[in-house]
Amino acid sequence: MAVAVKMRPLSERQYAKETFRASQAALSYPEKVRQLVMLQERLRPIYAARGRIIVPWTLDRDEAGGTMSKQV
Amino acid sequence: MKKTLEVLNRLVREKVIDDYAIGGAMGAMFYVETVTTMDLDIFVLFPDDSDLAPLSPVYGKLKEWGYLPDEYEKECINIEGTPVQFLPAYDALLQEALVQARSFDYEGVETKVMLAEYLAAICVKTGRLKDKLRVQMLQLSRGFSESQFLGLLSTFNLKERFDKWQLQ
Repeated sequence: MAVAVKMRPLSERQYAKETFRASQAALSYPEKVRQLVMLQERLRPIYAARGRIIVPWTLDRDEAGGTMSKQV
Repeated sequence: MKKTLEVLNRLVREKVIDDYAIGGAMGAMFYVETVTTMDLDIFVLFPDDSDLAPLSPVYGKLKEWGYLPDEYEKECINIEGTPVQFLPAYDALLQEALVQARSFDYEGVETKVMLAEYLAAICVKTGRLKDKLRVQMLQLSRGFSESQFLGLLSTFNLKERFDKWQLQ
């Protein structure tokens, strides 16, 4: 006989995390590139401590704080 | 990255390459949240696919324009501050992924990114642990077509590999 599986609803906290991730995924590509460069900057000292040199990407001035692009 | 894309478009205009599309982590990032990467993977179609060293003309032209190998990211050419790894579309899956790639506007520069379903199929083919995680992220992304993805796996004989992956 099949046993009904009772699903626990997502907690508020888990739901908030999912929502945050979805909102991050929905950002424009240039915005994500800006986030990536920030991540690279934060990672630089961590990698350096492990002996690997990384150089964060260069963004144009208008790109660095620029407008959102439209995704076709 | 805007200037980098302009240089890639110039390669197409000057017929050094037929076409290109963003793939790898930067391709996936179009559909999912920001992921860490240090290079920009560019898949390339060439006018002459019989060349044994297809990337030579690209490297040659870039050198002529003053773009040299990246000091730290090996196998990459540093183009306007972004390490770019050029990868020839060497098989049918990559070639189709490139032909089907979608155009988009990056801050006023027209460029192309591979479709999420193709990126996921390429991950299955590549088969590293990070590719497995990337497939899962892509599958959860908005608008991902599971049926198209499974269709690609069947067409390119990757279904068995994917099923094995699922069991690991």
